Amino acid sequence: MKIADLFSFGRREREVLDYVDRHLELVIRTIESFDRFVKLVGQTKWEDANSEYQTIDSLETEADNLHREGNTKIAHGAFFGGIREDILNIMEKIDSIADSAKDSAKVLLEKRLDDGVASALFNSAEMTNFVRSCMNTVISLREVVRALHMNRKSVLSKVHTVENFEEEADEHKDAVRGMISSMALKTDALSLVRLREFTTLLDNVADNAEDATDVILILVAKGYS
Amino acid sequence: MFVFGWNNGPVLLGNLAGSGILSYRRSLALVAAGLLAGVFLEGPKMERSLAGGITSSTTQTVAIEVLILSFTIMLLLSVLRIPVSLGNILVGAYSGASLAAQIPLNSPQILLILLSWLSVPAFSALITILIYRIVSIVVPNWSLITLDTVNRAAVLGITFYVAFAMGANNLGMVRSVLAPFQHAGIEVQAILFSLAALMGMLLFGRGISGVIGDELLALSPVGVLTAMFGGASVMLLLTQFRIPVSITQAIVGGMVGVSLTRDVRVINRRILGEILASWILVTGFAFVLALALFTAF
Repeated sequence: MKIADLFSFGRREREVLDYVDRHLELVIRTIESFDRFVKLVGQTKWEDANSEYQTIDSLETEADNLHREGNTKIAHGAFFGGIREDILNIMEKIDSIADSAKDSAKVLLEKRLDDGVASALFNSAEMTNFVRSCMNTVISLREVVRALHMNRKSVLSKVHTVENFEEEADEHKDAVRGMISSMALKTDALSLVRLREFTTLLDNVADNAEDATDVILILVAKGYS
Repeated sequence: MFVFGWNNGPVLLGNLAGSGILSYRRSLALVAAGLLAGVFLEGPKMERSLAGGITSSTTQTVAIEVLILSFTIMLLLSVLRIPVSLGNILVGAYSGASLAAQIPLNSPQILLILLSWLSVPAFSALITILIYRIVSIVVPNWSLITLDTVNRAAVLGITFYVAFAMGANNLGMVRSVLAPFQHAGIEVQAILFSLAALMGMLLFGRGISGVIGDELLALSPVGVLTAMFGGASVMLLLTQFRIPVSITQAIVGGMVGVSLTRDVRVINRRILGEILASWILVTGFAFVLALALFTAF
């Protein structure tokens, strides 16, 4: 570490948190693209859905690159030792959110679903609510990360919002799975398996967002005690 | 002094070098500055801690024997990777050698030193609790970046402060033993002590495990820094009264103090017991050995 770095007074740390914020922005755009993708699947516009998947893919790749740049920045000595690992963990969890969104979209495109099943499931209120609650976990995660610029109390007050949306996502996932089960006679077994896998991967979006807030909680507990 | 540096290296360098804020060599430079400043600015207050304190005067023979014996004990314990206090060893060895040389001991001063050692951990804990309470009110209002910046600055400042306190008390005390050799300039002695201590840290200081760190207690950076600040403050306070003290005693007391403010405490009682035992046993061992050797030879 250079002598000049001693007098940076948090410049590098601000840059790292800025990376985390930008990373989250990219991930939110990925989820928004995923939301459009789901709507297109519901409209059985498979070509458009495929195009939208390409957008998801490129956004996820951009998020990966930003993740790598942020890791490099942290590796150059930003943040005190104990906090550094937590920041790396947070970025890892955020990256997993984008990965989960991309993977769940990919599952649907591996083999085209029956149009009737796709229309019934992906236009349903249950599916819309499920996607919406997953998106909300990520948006509220961004608020938690931004609260790190304020104080401990602000962070702790916003953490519960993410947890609430994650629980909501779990409930909506169960509702969607119930719908999938009710379609057992209308479609083949492989499609049923892929749809269940889709819900699991989409649920990982919310789970990873909640895991990221857990890491933030640990960071706050360690650093502010 | 070389062995002093070897044994106490982790106390001075552990937090700073381990945090990654500075390289090991730059950390050493900061510690050197602290030690030298302590030796020059406050060290003279300890010149009458042993010769002029425990005894009214001493002889060159006693001085040489005490230094050789202390070096040997510290070397042995450093090889065994046991952190030990120079103050404990020197007081024990000096008292034993003086008694064998039939130099009258100042019992009230010895009693004062022993009582101070017994009360240092508790006193340090109390001071640290007071400081930590204030810190605990202020810190939660900071952003993560402010907290991180303050932690970094505190590690640098407190490392310097601890080195300053050790230079003043421990290295200053050695000058007291060397009172019979006044023909060598005190300033030259002070520089040589500090350089020898730094050589010990540089060459071997990384080897001894940080027993008073992670193995004893689980504390946050804020807790550890507060404990070190409190411990060094107690050490400097006792320097004003010419009382040699172990930085380990002071810092351990501070760390226990921080842990007492928590609802959940994780204290390794075995390690704590070993540290407490070493304080008592090392002093007694040095006393008995010095008495026996000086009487025999």
